[in-house]
Amino acid sequence: MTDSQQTAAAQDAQMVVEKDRNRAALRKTFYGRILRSVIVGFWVMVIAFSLMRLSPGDPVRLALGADVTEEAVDAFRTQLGLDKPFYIQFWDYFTGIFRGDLGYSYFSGRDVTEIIGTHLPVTLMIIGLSILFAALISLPLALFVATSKSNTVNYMFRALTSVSLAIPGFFLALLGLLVFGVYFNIAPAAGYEGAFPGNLKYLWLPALANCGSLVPVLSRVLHSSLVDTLDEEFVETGVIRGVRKGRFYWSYLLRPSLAPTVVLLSYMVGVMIGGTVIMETIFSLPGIGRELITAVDGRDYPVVQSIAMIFGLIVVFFSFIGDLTGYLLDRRVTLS
Amino acid sequence: MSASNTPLIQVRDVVIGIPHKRRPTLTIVNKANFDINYGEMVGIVGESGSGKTMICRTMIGTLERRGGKILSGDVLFEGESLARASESDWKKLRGKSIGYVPQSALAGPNPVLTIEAQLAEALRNTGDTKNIKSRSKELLELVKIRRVDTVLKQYPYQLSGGMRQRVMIACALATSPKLLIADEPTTGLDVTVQSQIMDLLKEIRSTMGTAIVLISHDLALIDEVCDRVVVMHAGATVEVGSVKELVKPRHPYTIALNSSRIDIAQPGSELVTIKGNAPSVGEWNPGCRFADRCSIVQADCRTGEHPELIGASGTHQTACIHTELLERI
Ligand SMILES: Nc1ncnc2c1ncn2[C@@H]1O[C@H](COP(=O)(O)OP(=O)(O)O)[C@@H](O)[C@H]1O
Ligand code: SF4
Ligand SMILES: [Mg+2]
Repeated sequence: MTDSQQTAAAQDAQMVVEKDRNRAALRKTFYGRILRSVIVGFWVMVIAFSLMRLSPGDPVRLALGADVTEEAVDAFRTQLGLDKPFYIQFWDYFTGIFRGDLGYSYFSGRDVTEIIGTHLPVTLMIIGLSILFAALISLPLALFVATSKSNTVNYMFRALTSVSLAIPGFFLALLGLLVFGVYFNIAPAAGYEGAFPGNLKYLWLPALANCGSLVPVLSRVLHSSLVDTLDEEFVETGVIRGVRKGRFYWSYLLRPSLAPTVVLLSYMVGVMIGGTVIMETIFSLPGIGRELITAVDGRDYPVVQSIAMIFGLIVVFFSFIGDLTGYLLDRRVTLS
Repeated sequence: MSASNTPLIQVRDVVIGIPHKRRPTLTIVNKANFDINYGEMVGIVGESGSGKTMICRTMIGTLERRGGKILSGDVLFEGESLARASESDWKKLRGKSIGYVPQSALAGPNPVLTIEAQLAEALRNTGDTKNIKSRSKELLELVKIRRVDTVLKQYPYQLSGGMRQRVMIACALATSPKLLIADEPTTGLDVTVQSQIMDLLKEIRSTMGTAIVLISHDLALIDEVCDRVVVMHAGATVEVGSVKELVKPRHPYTIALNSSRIDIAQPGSELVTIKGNAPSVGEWNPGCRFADRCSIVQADCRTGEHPELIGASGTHQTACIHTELLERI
């Protein structure tokens, strides 16, 4: 073999190794995130478990009302297992999780898995719709402002996003109800229908209200990435090659700029859950957030613990999806 | 006019500025003057910030998107004005007769597209969309890339700096341009890779007859591979001449550049660095913009316009009004 052939062979080998390393990193990240998701879910549950029991309020008395005998109270407490020591209660609940048993509501007696199964989809739907709307608004907006040379456009963008960020979500929701629900009468103020396309009628306005805080953050981050990208040399090569407009905007501007925004969006799912809980209350939607509020009020331990755990799982899961999407968009992103 | 005696590119008294709504226009280049002949390899040398990249942009039509404008003078490509070319003219011109390899090997290729996709884009620019795949492979082989099939499927981040720069050169050659502009093509690459890229450029010039503009801040590098040299200082062409002619430079700046070169330094003699910095854009005083750094500066150097480029002998031109004092240096 000549020298150059040898180097070529060495480089070939190195390339194969590198490819494998990438795939291994991807696999490792995948399992790592699942593990992390479970760990975070566990700790959120532990915190919810302890805080509920440390805070004042007796679930037994709250569940039974005022006019009950002491015997009845004691009997119910024993039935719920609340007379057992703290750590036994925890162990019972914790081992239950692995059998798919999250306990029963102290109030309604409903199976907690069933509560989550019915109400979680509504919340996830609102979050999904919020993400969709936020993307549909932020992408063109940031692109338009970044490619505009007008100072007025840039100034208006900064001003309006600041204002939008300062308006609380619930206020925006009430305003939306007033405008779209009462004035234009195109959004129902209350009520709900469970099946998929029909329920969108009830969900679009809450999702849009969520966008009030999402869009300013996302469009600003995307805008600043786009401005950086526009300055890059490779954009120049795209211009010189006369790449078609659509392809130019996607492959030369958006795709190289999107990763930080996507990652941020996925990390904001936690914030979005908070916003969605408020929306569910305002629009009387049967989401998991409203269940959580009722359960906290009534010290409904199993319901609170389980929902908190699910939220933890969701947040970590979404952050993984965000990192993965960022990587698929732009291979320079490293998965950790 | 026959193509043989018109230069391929004529840069004539070019002044480039960045217009601003409220502030006065910022002049970045004032006056650039040089020719590039068919099949010639010309080096443009000058410190960072001297306006080299800006001049390139006038030839590839990306000055406007960077906020710049040719305020006066003209750039002629085969006798046609580029300064007055409209965006639709540029659509026909851009990337076809003039290939461009951007500054910085690392940021040149699009990070989110595979090498194959980028070569395909460049090839489609020729208008011929047949056999893209096999033509891509030929281009990569032309720039001496091995394992072509693997490289086609890769993303830029998987390639070394030298490989990336080869890919950029391949893309620029896709349309068989008459002129290839390479803007500091070897910044950030190590010395062996640098000399490989230089060999490649030389070979392209001799086999394809492509005229090449090589931009660099390294005079030694330019001396080695180019036929002619254009020296820029603070937005002005201060000296033009063949490599042979520039062995005896006639501008104090070029003389200083030469005496700061390690490769031709006399053993035992001191390496001189050029004193001070070039004046930044927007801070130019009247007269010669080299005055503050010049060792033979005279009172009249600091008045009036920046000195004009005037012929000394042959093709050698210098923008200095006191060349008679050069012996003192
Ligand atoms: N959009 C701009 N606004 C203000 N100054 C600029 C702009 N673009 C370039 N410049 C300035 O113009 C000068 C010349 O830049 P450039 O052509 O990139 O120099 P070189 O390529 O020789 O290093 C630099 O000082 C740079 O700061
Ligand atoms: S014109 Fe004057 S200041 Fe400028 S280079 Fe010549 S001698 Fe120096
Ligand atoms: Mg430059």
